[in-house]
Amino acid sequence: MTTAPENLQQDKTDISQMLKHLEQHHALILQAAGEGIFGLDLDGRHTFVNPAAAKMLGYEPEELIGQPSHSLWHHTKADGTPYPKEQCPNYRAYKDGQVHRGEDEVFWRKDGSSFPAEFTSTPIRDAKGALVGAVVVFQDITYRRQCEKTITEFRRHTDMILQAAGEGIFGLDLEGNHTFVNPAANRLLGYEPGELFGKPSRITWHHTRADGSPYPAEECPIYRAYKDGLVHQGEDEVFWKKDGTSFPARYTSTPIWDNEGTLAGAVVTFQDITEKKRMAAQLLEEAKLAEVTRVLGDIGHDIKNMLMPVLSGADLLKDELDEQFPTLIREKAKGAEASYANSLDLIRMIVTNARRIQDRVREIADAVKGVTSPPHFTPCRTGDIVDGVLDTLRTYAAEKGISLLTNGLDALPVIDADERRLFNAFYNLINNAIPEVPRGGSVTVGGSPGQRPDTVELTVADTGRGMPPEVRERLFTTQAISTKKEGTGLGTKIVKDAIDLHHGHITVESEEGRGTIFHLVLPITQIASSPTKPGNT
Amino acid sequence: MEQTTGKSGTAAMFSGQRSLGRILVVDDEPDVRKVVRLYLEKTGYDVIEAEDGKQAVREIKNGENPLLVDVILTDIRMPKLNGLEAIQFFQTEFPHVSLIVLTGFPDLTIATSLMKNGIIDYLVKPVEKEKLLTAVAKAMEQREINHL
Repeated sequence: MTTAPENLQQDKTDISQMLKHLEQHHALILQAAGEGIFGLDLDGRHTFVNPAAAKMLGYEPEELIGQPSHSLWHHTKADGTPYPKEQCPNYRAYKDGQVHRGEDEVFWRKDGSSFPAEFTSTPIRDAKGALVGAVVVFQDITYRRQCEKTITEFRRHTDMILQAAGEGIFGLDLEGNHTFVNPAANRLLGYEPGELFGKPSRITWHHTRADGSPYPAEECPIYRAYKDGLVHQGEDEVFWKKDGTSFPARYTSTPIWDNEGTLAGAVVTFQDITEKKRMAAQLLEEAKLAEVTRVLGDIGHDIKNMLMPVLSGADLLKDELDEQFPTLIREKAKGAEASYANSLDLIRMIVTNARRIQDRVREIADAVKGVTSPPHFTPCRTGDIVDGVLDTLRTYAAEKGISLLTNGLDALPVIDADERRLFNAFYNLINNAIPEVPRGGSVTVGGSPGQRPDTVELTVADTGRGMPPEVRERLFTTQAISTKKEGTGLGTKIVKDAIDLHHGHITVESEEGRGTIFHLVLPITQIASSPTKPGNT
Repeated sequence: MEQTTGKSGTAAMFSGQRSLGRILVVDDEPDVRKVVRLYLEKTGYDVIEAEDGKQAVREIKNGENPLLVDVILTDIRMPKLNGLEAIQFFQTEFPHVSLIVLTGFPDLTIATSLMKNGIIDYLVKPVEKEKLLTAVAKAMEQREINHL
């Protein structure tokens, strides 16, 4: 049997053991906690300190007990200004009895350094509900801050890249809706920022093929990337702009995976390759031209080689006939006279036609030179050049009963010209005019000061048949129509090239039945920026 | 008419006239060689033919005396040893022999550089008889000067 006091004593022992147990339990929790934990009294002095808190602040726990918290590790703000106690959330907790948090603050270590901390200050009340202090639980958030900073930095970089990229970049979700669009993509496709967001690519810019036929999503490499998870590329496709026009694009569609490894969409990068295509086409064109030039040069060489025995052979044959026939005729051989005349006529025919072939070859060679050799400007008298051309063509004109005239050329100033090219230009203009002029007509080369004081104007006027409009319009293009039987159509190209090279211009005035006038305007001086190497014309 | 190349012309010798000089004609076209030969033989020159630079070199080297050739008239675009290389070779091997180019390829740059390097003339095919004979006569004159 136990007495009442004995029972009481037993209860007391049990309770104190229980309390001790609880205390130990609490102590263990406090010891083990990763967070720093302080107890503060109403003066803000430490009543207890766990090892994590002491360690973070660089103290031994016993150094802190009884010391004022605010002046020890919370005296100064992050920006270096003093931190009045009254503003401190720790202080306020045991003053107003509310829970207070601090997020963007620093705690100061014993060695004078600081760290960013996040904390909660909770008031402590006694059994009667009176405030007796506060518990502060805090964390050193240096590492978290660093992570946040790295992430922000990384985002900023990514953003910068997306903003600055010359290539268009989109993100697409599994439905093909835009999740982001960089400025280059908006610019290339003609949309305002944000306009494409949430809209599907297949109805905005990838709905139709270059040939105008619809483009089913299943066949589209962009769509395939977020279906099969592989990188797809498109070379020869068109993207459609908001205004309904399109451009050739080269693109790569790369699948995006989420954290769980499931397909989340695709990133598409693309370029407008209009300019690249144009450059490639131009290079091809130039290569073709170089090849044509080379082939024409070879053909010209061959033809001239072949013409040599024809012309010289005819010449030698004539010598032979001239030697033999007079004897035969003197000796009254039958039919000798007629045969001699026939033979001479046939030789004339051979020579005339071989010369025409030679002229054509020269024309082709000149046109080829026009595109291949640099200009060589020297001071020239236009009158002398034209006289040279007229001398060359006078026999031909006389045969056709046409007079070649000049007017006002002597009064012209000396001009900077590529003599050979200008000669060829006039040669072609006059040579082409002669067959168009009826017997008794004329071709006149005239000269006068140009409308601008630094130019001269030259005209080549004939009294010929004139040109139909379709011939006139295409005259100075590569599609020029030749009306001559043997014409290459290159004559007018030689003229145009020569005038262009002199930075001049040429126009034509022509009416059927009334004749044609070519107007050439040439600068008197050529800019010094087209120097020519000696011997390189 | 002689068809084979490489034999020296004999027209002048048979005619009993004194030869005006011996010309080596180098061209890959037999007909070109033939008309040039006729022009030259009628005027009184002896003619040797070669169809390319290599044969030309052989012709000159095979002769007992290379100086017997006075003028070389050559194309500059032929198969095998081309004319430009041949010209350099001729100029090195036979500095006393006068050179004339006869070509279907009028290239002012090449022409200028060759003229600077001492060829007598640069003739473009088809060439007129007078031009050809004038150039050859000039080359013969130069040959006389070289020989002094």
